[in-house]
Amino acid sequence: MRNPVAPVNKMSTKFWTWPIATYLFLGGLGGGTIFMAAIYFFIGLSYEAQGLPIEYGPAAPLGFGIIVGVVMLALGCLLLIFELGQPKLFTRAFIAKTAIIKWGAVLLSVAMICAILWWAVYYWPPEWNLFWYSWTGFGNLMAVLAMVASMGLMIYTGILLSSMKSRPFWNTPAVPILFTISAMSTGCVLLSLCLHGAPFDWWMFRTYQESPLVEMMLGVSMYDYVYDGLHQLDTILVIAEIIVLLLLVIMQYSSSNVTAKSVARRWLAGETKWIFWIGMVLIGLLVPLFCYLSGNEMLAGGLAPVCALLGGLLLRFLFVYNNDRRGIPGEAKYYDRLPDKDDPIFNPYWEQNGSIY
Amino acid sequence: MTRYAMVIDQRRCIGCQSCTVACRTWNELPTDIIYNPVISSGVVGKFPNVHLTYTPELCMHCDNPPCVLCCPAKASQQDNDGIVWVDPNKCMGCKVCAQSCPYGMRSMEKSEGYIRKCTFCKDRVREGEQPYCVATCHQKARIFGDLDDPNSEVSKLVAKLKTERIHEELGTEPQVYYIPDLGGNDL
Ligand code: SF4
Ligand code: SF4
Repeated sequence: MRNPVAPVNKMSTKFWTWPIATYLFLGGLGGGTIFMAAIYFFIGLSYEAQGLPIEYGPAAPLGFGIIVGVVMLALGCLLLIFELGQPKLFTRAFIAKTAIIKWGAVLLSVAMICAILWWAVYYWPPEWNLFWYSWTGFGNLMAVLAMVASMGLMIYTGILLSSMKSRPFWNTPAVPILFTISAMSTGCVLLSLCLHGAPFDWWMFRTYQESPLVEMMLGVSMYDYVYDGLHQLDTILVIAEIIVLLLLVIMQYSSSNVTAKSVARRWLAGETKWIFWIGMVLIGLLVPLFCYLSGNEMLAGGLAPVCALLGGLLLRFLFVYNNDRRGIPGEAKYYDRLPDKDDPIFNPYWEQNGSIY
Repeated sequence: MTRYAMVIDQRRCIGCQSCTVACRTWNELPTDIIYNPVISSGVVGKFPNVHLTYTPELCMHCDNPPCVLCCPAKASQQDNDGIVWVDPNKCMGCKVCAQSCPYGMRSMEKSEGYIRKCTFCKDRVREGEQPYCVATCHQKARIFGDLDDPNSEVSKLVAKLKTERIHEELGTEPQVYYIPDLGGNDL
């Protein structure tokens, strides 16, 4: 069966392509990473209140993760600008307050700037010994702002799609929920990878030291404390994501809207069924879940993150590339009959104002 | 106040696509952009009494246009007379508006980088002329005018006949009214 709903015109089928899909992924990923880092930072602060200095507690190993989160957001920004028709006008993204994309741009900027300032106060390499090291109040404020903005960012990527009444498959509250869960889950994964991969002495909390106090208070090393916590949380998030994803697709499959139904059918049993079932559900969700539940350190620390990140990226691609518009009877037939832009017979003559006869 | 609107009499449209061609010419459109396609659906009925429905489309110049609300750059805008248009010097080409239009009436030529759409020929109508597609339609299937003026032809048609609007349920308040070819009233 042909796609019953054709886009505005056949020759520019997809308004949004891979840069936007990747941007939505990176926005969620960076947001999730900074958000999870902020949570553990505040857990670290609460341990400080109980007598464990912050530089020994769970807040200590987060520095590298924060920077990687910011880098993800920056890459997302670059892709977004790259995708614009007139990139030199990108500052106009901030103008209209009714526009969801403006709020995305604001959240993105706030999250990046505040996260960097928060990092600069708490995690800047100690050898540099800069004067703002004592501004912990300011650093905490930046951490709060970065946390709020990154949470907004995780939700916003889903809202951007679900706000579009023109695209029935996107236009459901389950989409922002799914995107938020997925963003948080990929954030957990990336942060846990950064705990592993950090060039340690440099990126560590600036005054970090080994201390017997840590094992006493946390039961494990502060590094394991964060790592295990993230994995436990991600296990729950992956389960939630499976449930919401399947609910969303099944709900849309039984929807009275023909467009939403046709996309759901395409995912469940149509052209995209392999990408959906094997790529998204199996590799993106079930494999990480199995790895976590297996308790095998190699699987949970190595295979699960790769699969979960891949799954997150695939989710955004699946959504962005299935942007079917509400149909108007007869459209598909009309647009299907138009020649391709690079049609070898039609186009050269058109361009040269010649005749096809 | 003025509120421009269009009535499309589907009983009269013969699907000749003259309006599509006229629009392309007047607006000097790039090869792959069409502002006002004439789509057809059917066939209904039993031979020899068969029928094909023609639906000329264009931007609906919605009263509640999602494409304007979602534009971060204030490039997509609506004037007081209801005309929705895009300022190419302000449009950054993010294509959110094209995604949000339920009627698929926005498009972008890659080399230009900004969104193009039907403007109700605002330069013509503000000089008192008809939009080019309306002026071209030899069947008088496209009727243009001011809905706020009770004596205009569009007002009379909308008041007198049962008209339909596309995707009315979305709350976009489209301002193109269709007189259906089947089941419509007599004039
Ligand atoms: S038809 Fe589409 S482009 Fe035209 S005003 Fe309505 S939403 Fe905007
Ligand atoms: S593509 Fe242009 S007109 Fe459309 S929302 Fe973006 S900036 Fe506004």
